[in-house]
This record gives sequence, structure tokens and C-alpha cells, in this order.
Amino acid sequence: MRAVLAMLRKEWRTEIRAAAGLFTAAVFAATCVMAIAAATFTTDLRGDTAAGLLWVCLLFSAAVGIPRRFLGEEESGTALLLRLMVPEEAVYWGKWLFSFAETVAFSAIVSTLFLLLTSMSVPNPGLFGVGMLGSALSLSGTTTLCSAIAAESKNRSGLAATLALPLLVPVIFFGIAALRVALGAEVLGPRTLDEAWRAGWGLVGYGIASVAIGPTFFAIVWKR
Amino acid sequence: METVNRLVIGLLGALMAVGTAATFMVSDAPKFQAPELARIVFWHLPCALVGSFLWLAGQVCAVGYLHTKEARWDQRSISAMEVGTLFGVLAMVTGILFSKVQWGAWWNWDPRQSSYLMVLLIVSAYFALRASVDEPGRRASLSGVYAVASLVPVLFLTFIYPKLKVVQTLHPNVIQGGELTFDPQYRVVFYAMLLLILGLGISLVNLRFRTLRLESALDIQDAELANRDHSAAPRVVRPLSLSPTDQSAASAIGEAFGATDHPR
Repeated sequence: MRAVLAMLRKEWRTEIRAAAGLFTAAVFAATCVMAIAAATFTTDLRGDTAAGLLWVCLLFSAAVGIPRRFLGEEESGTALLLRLMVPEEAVYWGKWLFSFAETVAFSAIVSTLFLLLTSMSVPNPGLFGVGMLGSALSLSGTTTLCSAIAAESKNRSGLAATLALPLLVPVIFFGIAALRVALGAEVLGPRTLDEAWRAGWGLVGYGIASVAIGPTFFAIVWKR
Repeated sequence: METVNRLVIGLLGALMAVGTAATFMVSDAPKFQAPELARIVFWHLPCALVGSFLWLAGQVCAVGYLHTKEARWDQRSISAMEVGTLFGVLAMVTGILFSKVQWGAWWNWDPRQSSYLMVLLIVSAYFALRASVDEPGRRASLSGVYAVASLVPVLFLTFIYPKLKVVQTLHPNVIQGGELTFDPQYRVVFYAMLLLILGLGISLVNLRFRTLRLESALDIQDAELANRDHSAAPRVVRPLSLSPTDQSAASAIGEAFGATDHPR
């Protein structure tokens, strides 16, 4: 546990010292939301469309962060030092925890900005919260693993997103199914609402599964 | 072994010709816009099923590699993934062709079409990863992990998503209560074509696997030769023994280009 916390501290310090990564992701997410808000300014957004657009923002702000997890370690030559000094589980959990915290923070900022700029309300905040929690779990689990896989390849930064985005397809389906109802899409009786809740919890389940299986895969990827 | 392989491929070719002829002997399907063109189902559906089966087989072989670290499991995995992709692309192409005839557009964003395209994207990402790592051991491990990690999305997109009640597809539901809804005549030909295409797929995987084994054996031989000479530079020419036909072809090249010795 101490090693995990030390790893988390190290990630935090690295990000703060070279804040370029965080700024890039923030600017990217804000620009994405503003572009969508400007494009839909004269239209009344429906829950279905809004859920899809919000997911585009969440996905691409997460994709910007992928290269920073492990690719930076390989480029700065610190990966070898980590392999020598830190147990592999601690490396994985430290990186994932930071990634999760970052995704939660960005999701909160992106969704607040999105709701403010598009003047949308959230009729079902509970479902919205479950959907966002599941999204953050799934996004952070998948992107951490894909970043570790891509770290040793030739065209790292491009490949990391190429690997992660297709794996996130089920997450996108579940996410949109939950968020569309949370954002007020037409609900045709209690069955649709139940399905939306199931999609929300399915997303949380997928996220937990991807995080739980992550250390096993990571051990294979990390070993030399 | 070589004779058996040739016999199997010859037999498959002959059966495939018979199967193709049989697809034209069944009556037209009157429910479709172009009843005579509905026969494409005998190619489209088996290609889609065999493609998915081979991808899953490739992912299972990747688990085998991660468990044993034996190169042959990785070779089996990549062989199945490559041949699976070939069948996946064929299913896509035949689907697009029939989509234009039946639904009036090349692409309809039908959930089944889209989910199959996404599976193809996942497989493409797998190939992109393999192409980006040079060292064979690392390539096998990293792509093995990616193949296993993509198992859940592939299963979801292939079997779960198209069957969800909220998903409305233009594709006819051909399996109801575990039974094919085809007319009996179509059913027989369909099963025959499915078996033949599966057989073709497996024999292609086997052929690709043997090619990979040979390539790997040649690489090992090259490395041994380079070590024996205590030279940092690997040999460029492989010491292949030439068959009499190859020798005569080689001497013809030698004569044509004015060389005095046969190239070896």
C-alpha cells in the first residue's frame, strides 16, 4: 500500500512539474465542449443527442491523456528505474489510481461545462452519477492498460489511442444508454428506465472487471 | 504429410465447386427485393460466422501463448486472426453488395453492420500493434494481451449487442429458438456451405501456420550461421537446397546474366 501511495505521489509530482499534459487535456476538453455548444446553440438538444455528444467530449479528453501514463516513462528513460525499484502491482495501481482521479476530475469539469453551455438539465441525477462513475472506471482501466501495451512500440502516441478506442466501444454503448435517460430522453414506461439503470450498472461492472483484470495483463506487459 | 495436405485441399476444392453449383440449384427466395440474388446468404452468413469463429480461436490461442510462452501458440493465434480477417472482410463485402440490392444503399448504419465493422476495427488495432513491435517475444506477449483484453468487446459486439431488444436491425432474424428459419432446401445447402467454408478456413489457417513455422526455422538457421562465422553481420543468402527444377531455373538465370557458377 505504501508503494502504491508513493507511486501516486510520484505521478502527481510529475504532472504538476510538467503541467503541459494537464493543460493540453483541459484545453482539448474545453474546446470540444465549446464547439458542440456553439454548433447546437439554436437547437433544443434532446437527451439522446446530448448523451452522444457528451460522450464524444469524455472519450476524446480521456484519449489525450493516454500517452502520458507509460509512454512518458519510456521516453524519459525512467521505466527501467521503475522496473528495478517498484513492485509491478504498485506501478499498476499507482498509475491507475492517478488515471482514475484525473478522469473523474475531467468528467466533472467537462459535464458541468457541457450542461451549462447547452442549458441542459439532469432530470435523473442518480443515474447520471452512476453513468459517470462507470465511465470513469472503464475509461481509466482501459486506457492504463493500452498505454502500457503501446509504450514499447514504435509509433507510441498514435498507437495508444488506436488500441484503446475500439476496446471502449461497449463502454460507449452502455454509457450512452444510461446517460440518454439521465439527460431526459423520452422514457416509454418503467421498462426503459430499468434498462437505463441496468446499462449504468453494467458500465460500472465493466469498469470494475477491466480494473480487476488489469494487474494480470499488466504483469505480462511490464515484465522483460 | 504433404500428400495428405494436397489431398485435403484438392477434395475441398472439388466439394466447394459442387457446393457452389448447389447454391444455384435452389429456388429463388420470393420475400426479397431481388429473389435470385438472395443466394448470397450462402456465402455471406458462413463467411461472417467463420470469421468470428477464427477470431475467437485466435484469442484462445493467445491465451495459450500467454500461459506457455511457446512460439507455436502465437503463430497459431496470428494465423487464425489473419484468416478470420479475410473472411470478415468477405462477409462485409458480400453484405454491402446485398445491402444495395435489398435496402437501396451501400451502407445503412444497421446495428449488425456497424457492430461487425467495430470488430474489424478491433482486429485492425491488433494488427497495428503487431506491426509496431520488432522483437518477436515482446510482439507475441503484447499482442497476446491485447487479443485477450479485446475478447469481451468482441463477444459483446458479435453476440450480445445485435440481440438486445432495444436494437432494431434490418437483418432478418434467421435463428429462432435455436433453429434456422430457412426453408428446408435452403437449410441443407446453407449447412453444407457453412461446413465447406469452415473447412476452407481451417485449411488456410493450417497453411499459414506452417508457413510461419518455416519462416521461424529459417530465421533461427540464419542466426546460427551468423554466430558460427563470429560475424556481426548476418548472412544475406540462405543455404536453400535446390530441387532439380529450381537448379535448372537457376542455371538458366546464370546463363542469361553471364554468371559462371550456379547461385546457391
